[in-house]
Amino acid sequence: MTSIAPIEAGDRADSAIAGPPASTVRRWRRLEDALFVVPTWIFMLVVGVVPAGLAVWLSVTDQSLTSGTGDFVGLQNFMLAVFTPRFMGSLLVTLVFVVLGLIVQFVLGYLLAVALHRQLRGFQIARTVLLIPMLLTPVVVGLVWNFMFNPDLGIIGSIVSLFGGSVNFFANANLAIGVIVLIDSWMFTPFVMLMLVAGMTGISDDVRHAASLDGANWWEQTRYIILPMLKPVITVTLIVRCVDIVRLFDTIYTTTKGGPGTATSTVSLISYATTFQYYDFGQGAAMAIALTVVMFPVYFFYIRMTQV
Amino acid sequence: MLVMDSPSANGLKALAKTYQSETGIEIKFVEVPYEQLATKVILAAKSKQATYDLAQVDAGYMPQIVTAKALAPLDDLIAADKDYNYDDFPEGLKAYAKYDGVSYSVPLSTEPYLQWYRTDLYTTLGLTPAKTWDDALANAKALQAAGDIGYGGVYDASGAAYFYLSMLQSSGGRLLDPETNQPLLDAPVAKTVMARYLELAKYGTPGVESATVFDAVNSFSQLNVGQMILASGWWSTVNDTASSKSTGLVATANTPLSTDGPYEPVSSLFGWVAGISSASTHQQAAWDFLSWALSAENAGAFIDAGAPPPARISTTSNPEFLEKLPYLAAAGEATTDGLPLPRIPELSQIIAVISQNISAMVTGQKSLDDGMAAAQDAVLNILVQSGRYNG
Repeated sequence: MTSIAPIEAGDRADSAIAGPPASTVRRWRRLEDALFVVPTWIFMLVVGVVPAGLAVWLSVTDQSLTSGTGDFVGLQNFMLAVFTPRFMGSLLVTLVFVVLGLIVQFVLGYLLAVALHRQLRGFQIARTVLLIPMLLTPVVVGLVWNFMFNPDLGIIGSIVSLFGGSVNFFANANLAIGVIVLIDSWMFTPFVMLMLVAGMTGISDDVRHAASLDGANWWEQTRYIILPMLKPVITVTLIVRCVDIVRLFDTIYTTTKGGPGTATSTVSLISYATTFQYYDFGQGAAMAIALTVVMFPVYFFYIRMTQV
Repeated sequence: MLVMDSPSANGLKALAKTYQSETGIEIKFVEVPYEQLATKVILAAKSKQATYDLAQVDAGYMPQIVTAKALAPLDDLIAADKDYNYDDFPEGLKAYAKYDGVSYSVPLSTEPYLQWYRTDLYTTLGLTPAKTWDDALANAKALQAAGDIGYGGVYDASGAAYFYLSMLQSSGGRLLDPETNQPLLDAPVAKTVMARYLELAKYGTPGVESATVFDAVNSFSQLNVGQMILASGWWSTVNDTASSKSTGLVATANTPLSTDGPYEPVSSLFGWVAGISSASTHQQAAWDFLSWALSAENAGAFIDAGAPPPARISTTSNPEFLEKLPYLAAAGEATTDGLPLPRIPELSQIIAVISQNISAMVTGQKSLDDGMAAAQDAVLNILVQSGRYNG
């Protein structure tokens, strides 16, 4: 057994004289703490703040690979590239994809999650199959679906023709939008399903049993118990999907290329064309910044509505 | 050398092996997708990295690359190289490899738009290659009436404009006023030609409203498509015995010409050119290979490798070559009479907006009048923004 000797007053005084003042120690400790965080901040600066800052700077210059001098031009790029019918039209198309994509993916993802959570027969195998699309490269997926929907040689056209019909999915604005939503949903509904299943696992069965005893049917349990309890998971999932759909590019580029007309021409697509086909980095950056600004209220709205 | 997977690149690769065995100099080829070709050339030059000494360049986008200062001027090298014999090229073709009067490239493949037709179907129906666009429409009707496909068109939202503008030039119209660069899509001839272009879609394959050039070539190779307008460089693809059902059943003729507008009707000139990177540290060595590979002496080897040769006068008039590549005669004529699309850096933007409007018109999203007005407005906007046209 160890004994702890009482500290004499003199010892305290000696210690105070020998060591640094308490405020200095606290300051050193804060500095020490800060040093641990420095690598994270450096990482954040390098991968987040610097590129974003560069994009903002590019958006106010006439930087171009072919003709620009990189001079400061104020808001000229925004006037020429953002406040235009072309940008507004592509923004509307982007929002259509977001709304349709979120609805389809959430509804299907939820139903699949319920089936998986209840461990319906055969669904364990189905889960593995369902996850495959998520692992594929979007460009490859786009090309495969493009071939399937090809009006000349595609299997879907052949199936439609068996019933005496003919349809060109890429020549009708609504169908082309539907094709893009379908492909994106095929790829990412499993992600929504996985997130929701994870959330459902955290809900005790007792809650549902109690509701069942009180006479709540499936819809009432879903509406008043499951969905409110899944709200944080749903919010995060939808925000992630929302951001992904806003950035949707590969699928469109490999299928409709923005057509017919400009029916599937999103902001990402015209921003890419402006930057990498017309080499106007200033205007391309202005479009990207504008899209980010447009999306900020959407994120805040989601968070506020769901009180996460 | 930076190349795209194409018959021209295959020709160069085949010759590079011979070059290496003769000189010991190895030419390394880097293949990139078409969409990245110009960007790679520009970025390499901008970063002052001698990543590529040589580059295969779509002649239509050469001005864009030149304004980025990514290609070296070649006039001195050409003038000093008597063996290359630049006088063997038609003046129109030399002009095609220039920008602002300076040669930044040399012709690699010469691929004018030609009229392609199925000889078996034409013989059966007693048709002859169209001399005018009205003839082409009449042939399309006759082919469709016989149960075949009357016309293989391109109407997608990214590339349809090439074919429309080609038809416009061959009908006496122009995209821009040659003197002022004023867009001329509001001229009566532009609307007349667009109406005809959209009319031909009625005689196309199922789903023609979204057809890309690859779809069109595929249809022409696999189905009974009677006629289409296509660059001559597709010859080896359409006649590939391994993948085409049309092999041996295809012939070419000059583009139909009509006098609907104030300008001389001409066929349109397209093709690849080859240039030397401005960042290259081996410009003389790069030129030596280019000059050797594209010389008149190597035209035969180029053809044997399945590549469309540079349209030298000595090549397009060579009976042996004409037998191997029957389209060379028409290509030769097009190189003297043909005209490229306007040689301006904004061409890729203009092609995009016109293609989008063609797609919108052919799918019924816009009327002819609205589509043409929107296209004119968009092209005008691009040219005013770039300072190319000041109104």
